[in-house]
Amino acid sequence: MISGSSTEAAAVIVSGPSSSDTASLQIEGSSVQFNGLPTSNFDLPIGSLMKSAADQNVMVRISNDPVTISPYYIPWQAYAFDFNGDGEIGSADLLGFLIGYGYTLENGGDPNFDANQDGEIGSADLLEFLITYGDELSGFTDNRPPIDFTDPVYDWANDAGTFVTPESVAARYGEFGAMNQNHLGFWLLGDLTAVYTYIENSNPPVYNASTFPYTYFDIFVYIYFTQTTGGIWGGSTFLNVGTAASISPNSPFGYPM
Amino acid sequence: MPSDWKKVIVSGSVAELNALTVTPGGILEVTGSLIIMKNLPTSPPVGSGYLWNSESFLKVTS
Repeated sequence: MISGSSTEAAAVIVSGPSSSDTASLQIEGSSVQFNGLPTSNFDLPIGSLMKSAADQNVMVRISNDPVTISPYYIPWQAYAFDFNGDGEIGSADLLGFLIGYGYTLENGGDPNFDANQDGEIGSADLLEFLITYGDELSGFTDNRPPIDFTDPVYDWANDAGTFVTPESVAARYGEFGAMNQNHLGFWLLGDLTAVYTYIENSNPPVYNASTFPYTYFDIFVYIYFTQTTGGIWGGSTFLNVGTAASISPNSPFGYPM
Repeated sequence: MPSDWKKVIVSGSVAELNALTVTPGGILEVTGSLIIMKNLPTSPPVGSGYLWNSESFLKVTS
């Protein structure tokens, strides 16, 4: 090879330097082409570049095992006031409510107590709380159906059928639309007994392009389209939470608008 | 040093090239920890296999 020339080689190994402040490979031109970049799989050697099947993101394989995403912690479906998760809206929940009273969600207020979704735990939420005080959540009354995300009809993204893409979700919505399903009907499809009701309670992360590049729509997709028997349990997001008046153990909050 | 001086790049040397093509089936392997691509386009180039900077996400055209 001659410096400054255009070169073709069967293989090039850049072996150094390994320090992080000196580039091992620097490309100053604007056209970088990888014609043979493989689609992501775990048979590739660690360190291999690969592209994602859905969005053509370029990724580096960094471990021997698939990277798992931690669950997003979001409010309960119907019993938003069940602060301690014991299935009953009782005195312990009232205590938690009173402690959080006056807080905004931005300064630590629990979104489960923000029944009117105005961003603050206030008097309207207290009224709603008192109306539901004493209610009990019976097991498995969540009407959301299990979703067979391995159904080839919906063009799920990967071979294992465990991930979804915006395209596959859009196709899923399209299917519901074609069936003229109303919001309630969406959740009443399928086997009503197979969806778990309980999920952990916390604030979902705030959207951040670098650290958490997901919208609530993404969270919705994550919850409803990756749920599996014995795996991720169902739940609600801010997007599919309806009005406070709809709180009922047998009334799903509805489809995200 | 004459302006048309060209260094023969041998194993172990530091190289500067106008273009580098690794033939199909070949391997480009970088064992160092820092790879810099300074001027990637911010919109997808025409053609397949081109890298581009999609709002700080590295993507490749299909």
